[in-house]
Amino acid sequence: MVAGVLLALSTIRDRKKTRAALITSGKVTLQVLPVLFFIFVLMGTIEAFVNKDTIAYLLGRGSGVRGILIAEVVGSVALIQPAAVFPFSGYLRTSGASYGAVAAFVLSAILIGISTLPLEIKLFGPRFTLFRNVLTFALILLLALLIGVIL
Amino acid sequence: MKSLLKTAAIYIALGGAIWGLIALVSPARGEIVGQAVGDTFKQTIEIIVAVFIFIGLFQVWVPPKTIAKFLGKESGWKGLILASTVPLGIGGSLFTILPLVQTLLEKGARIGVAGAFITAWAGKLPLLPLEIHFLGWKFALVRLGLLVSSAVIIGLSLEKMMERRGKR
Repeated sequence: MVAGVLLALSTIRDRKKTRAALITSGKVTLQVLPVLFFIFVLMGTIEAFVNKDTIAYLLGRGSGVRGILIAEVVGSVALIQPAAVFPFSGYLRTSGASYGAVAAFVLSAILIGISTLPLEIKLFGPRFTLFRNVLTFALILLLALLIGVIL
Repeated sequence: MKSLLKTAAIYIALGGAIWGLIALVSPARGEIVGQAVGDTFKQTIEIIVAVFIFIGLFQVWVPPKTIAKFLGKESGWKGLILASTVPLGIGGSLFTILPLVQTLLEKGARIGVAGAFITAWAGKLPLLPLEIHFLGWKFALVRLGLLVSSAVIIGLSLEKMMERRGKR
């Protein structure tokens, strides 16, 4: 709805730009939708094989720092589009994961990437890469703990 | 464009293969997977389409390159504060954001700005509707607030660490 209104406004202001926007949207769709399909299958697979109690045990309220660390490591290794992070996180949440663990997964999936390490080293050098990733990992742990306390 | 299609095909094939394999081994479980895929798809398609349109509009009205140019010149606290708020509106993944930050450094931005920029970018404002839909507005707001307020800390710590090692 809101997107439709914005789109209409954008069309009135500038037709060319709006067309460019729609082309970008199309590209993003092409980029993200297949990943989403893959994630949905993954979610279904987890649903079919893994007991919800297991997720709740690994990532639930009682799992504390260990649960946050598990989620953070999985998020760091996971190679997914940021847009696909939230549907999966929502699934984890409804399966019994704590807010802290979910936050750790969301942040590390977006900010830390084993798959982007080569690119980061190439662009910024190994020291920057090491420091940034270590700092970010520590920050995520802290923020996840805070979010767990707040929510 | 071609590589885009290729990656898309790989993901679809991979997902299909996993699903097919499960259905082959255990039809009952295959059905659970199918149901989960269908349900999630139905629940999310509307919001996902909206977000994709958002991302497109953001991209043309607030182009990342303009932002980088603008931030490269700012210094001091103003630069740091801008670096921990402005990137919130930029989409993409680390693959697209890292090269952008590198041009920022080339244009003369300090390391603190670069560090804060990457951290704050994870705020992901264009994806906010998705986040609220799946995790609730409370979670989204708390995460956003904490991230923005800690972006400067990451930036400055990173800068300090780089400087200290550099002097040796």
